Amino acid sequence: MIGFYLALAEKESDKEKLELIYNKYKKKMWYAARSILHDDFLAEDAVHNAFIGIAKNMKSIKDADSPRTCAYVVTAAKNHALNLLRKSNPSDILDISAAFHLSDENAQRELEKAETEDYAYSVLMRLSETYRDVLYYLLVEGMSEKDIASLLSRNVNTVRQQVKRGRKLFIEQMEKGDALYE
Amino acid sequence: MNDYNTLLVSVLKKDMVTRLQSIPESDEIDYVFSRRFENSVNDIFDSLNENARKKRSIPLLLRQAAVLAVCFISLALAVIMINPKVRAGFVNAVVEFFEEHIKFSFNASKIEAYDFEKIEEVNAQYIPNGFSLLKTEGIFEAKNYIYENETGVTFTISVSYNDGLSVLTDKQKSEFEKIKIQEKEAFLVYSKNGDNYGTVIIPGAKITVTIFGYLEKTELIKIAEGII
Repeated sequence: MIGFYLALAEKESDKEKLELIYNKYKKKMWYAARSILHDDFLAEDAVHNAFIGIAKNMKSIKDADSPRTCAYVVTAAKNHALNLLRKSNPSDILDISAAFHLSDENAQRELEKAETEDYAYSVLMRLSETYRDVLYYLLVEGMSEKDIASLLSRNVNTVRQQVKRGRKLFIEQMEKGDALYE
Repeated sequence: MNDYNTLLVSVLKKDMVTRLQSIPESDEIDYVFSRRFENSVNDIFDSLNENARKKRSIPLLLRQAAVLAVCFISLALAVIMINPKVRAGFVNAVVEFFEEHIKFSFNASKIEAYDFEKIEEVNAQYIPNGFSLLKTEGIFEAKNYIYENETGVTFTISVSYNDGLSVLTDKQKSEFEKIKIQEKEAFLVYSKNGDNYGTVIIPGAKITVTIFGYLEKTELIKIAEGII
């Protein structure tokens, strides 16, 4: 009986969770990374690096099998892919700090009523994925800037600036759309 | 500004869903990972195991130590309680504490008591001024004499055969006293909440007389003294 009490079972939830994530999402992660790197083995490296980060931040993952977790791990893979791309061929990458990709003329042509979600969506699409990722994890998932930096393998200050800038750009474009519409 | 923030959250969600939908399902992706990759991921799992084992070891040791301590203490207590003297002392201590702080009880069969033989033989010689017999109730092997005054205050003299049960009263709401009625042991239980409700219990070897009602202590005792 003493033995029974002594043999207190420890939950292996982190390991089990990671195994579940690995088996369920590794191919999606690889696919997302490969779409950036265009190389099978580099994509594997990106996925491997992503898993290292995920293993260190298991507390951020509550349910291994959920759309939220899928978004999390795929985003991690994509960002590691971008990092690898940056290291291997810096000149191949568009200016990552650039937030907007459309001219004012295009914005005017696409203009719809400012308050609608469609217009807001179109404004968001003008932000690079870099900005959209940080904004998503901060505003939707409620993660801290530190955890976001860990997920996206960036500096915390970089994340902070991207949040500030991304939000500012979005609101400016929304207000511009309001003004033009009126 | 709040509207824009709300819109932003909404479209961010939409964007993430759209981006994820652009990725095929796992079983639609035709790719076999290299052995190099599988091995490198196994290394990650192994390091996770190692970290988890290190994190677990200290709390686990503490828990195991706590379990051992509880088992040892239980065993020690069990060994001590085998001794009859120790066991009796423990029981007495519990009973004393109980009686001192929580409940008052007595067992009629263990008291030097009155020797009433028949219920019909029991009579009350003293009834307080202003009270008269309202009614008599016969309930199984007991008889209740209920008295009432002009203002509707009642008291009862209950005469019953002992059923071997002990009487229990809540000491938190009542005070109790061991008293002497005609040189024999009796008990006075009186309410603490100021409503002047009291009980005198006169235990007999065969028959117990209980007087209860809204009367002063002195009156209850006087009635008890007059029971013959």
